[in-house]
Amino acid sequence: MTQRPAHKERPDNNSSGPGGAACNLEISRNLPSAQEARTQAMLARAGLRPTRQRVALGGLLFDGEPRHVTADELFRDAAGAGFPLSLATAYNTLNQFAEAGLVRRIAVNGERTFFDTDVGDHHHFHVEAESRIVDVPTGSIEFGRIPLPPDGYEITAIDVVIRLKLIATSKQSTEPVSCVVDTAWNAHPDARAIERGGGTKSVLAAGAVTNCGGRRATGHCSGI
Amino acid sequence: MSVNDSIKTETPDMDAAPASDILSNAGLRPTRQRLALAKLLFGERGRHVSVDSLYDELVRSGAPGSLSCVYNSLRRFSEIGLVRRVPVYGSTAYFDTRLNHHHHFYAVDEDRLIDVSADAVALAAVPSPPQGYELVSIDVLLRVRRADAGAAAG
Repeated sequence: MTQRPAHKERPDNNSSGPGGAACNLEISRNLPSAQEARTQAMLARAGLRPTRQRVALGGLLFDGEPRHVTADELFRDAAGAGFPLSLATAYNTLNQFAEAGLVRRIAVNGERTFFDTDVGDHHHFHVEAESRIVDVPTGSIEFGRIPLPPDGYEITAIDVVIRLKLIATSKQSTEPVSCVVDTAWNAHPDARAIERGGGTKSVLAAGAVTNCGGRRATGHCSGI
Repeated sequence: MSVNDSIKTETPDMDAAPASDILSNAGLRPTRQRLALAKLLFGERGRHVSVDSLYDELVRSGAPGSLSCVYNSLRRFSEIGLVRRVPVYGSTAYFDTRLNHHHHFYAVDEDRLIDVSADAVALAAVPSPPQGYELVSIDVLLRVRRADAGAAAG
């Protein structure tokens, strides 16, 4: 059934000019056919029929780095890529992808719903005031203690959302979070190390210590 | 629409005063609808509600209101910190009326939340926030499923 969508869905139009099936042409101009075939295969594996829209949106979503998108952003991306569609379609497609396990819906306290194209186990920072979600670097969260599951249940996964806010007193902290992803996000900054940083970071240390019941310096953060 | 949390509304007959206090403290005009919602929400300690489940309750209690009003009120309540959205990676938006710090089990197959006390979870390592940001809180969601369901599937 799903063996030959690659040929069926995409007529041979690489060399033809504008005209004909306009949408289809636009897509293939933006997606190399190998990429398109990959997207189609991925959709087929997930049990989704590779319609043109899904292939196009899948190409936008999974082409490149994993990211967090909202339906709005995907809608704009699609328009920018010459594939106009309705906001509702973007939203519905994201939901279909989520149900098929291709993206993960992230619910946070805020009005936007994010979809994460990285469905692997990882955690998130959430800056509520900016409606922004950033991945927590892999391996930087370690659990010292987790509760026993309720009787008859087993724990299958743990999701952590770390809520952040802009440090109010800091003057040069207007840069968005995504710009500082590559700065050192150490696995465990102890209080002294943070204090050495001085300036805005000591505010951070104060906040962190409060959050961890004052046991930060021991390297064990309890009852967060 | 299913009422997915076990909602036993043995609300101690809360008169209008506390509900309207809650609203006015939060800077909200105590409309009839908000009063009814506040009574349902805050009459009992520690509730997890979704828009659907709260709407069901509202209808059963005979109070006026539409689904969109419930949605808007919950959103407004969460904006001003009266309820908190639980970070469930799923399709249903859950709001928690218990605001002190705690975590959750989430029974995925049943779409149900169970409270976990804050000190039942301890982190041995916490990432430092990006520069210029500080930690507000850490929410941990432990996804669980019935052990026999796993065995049956496997």
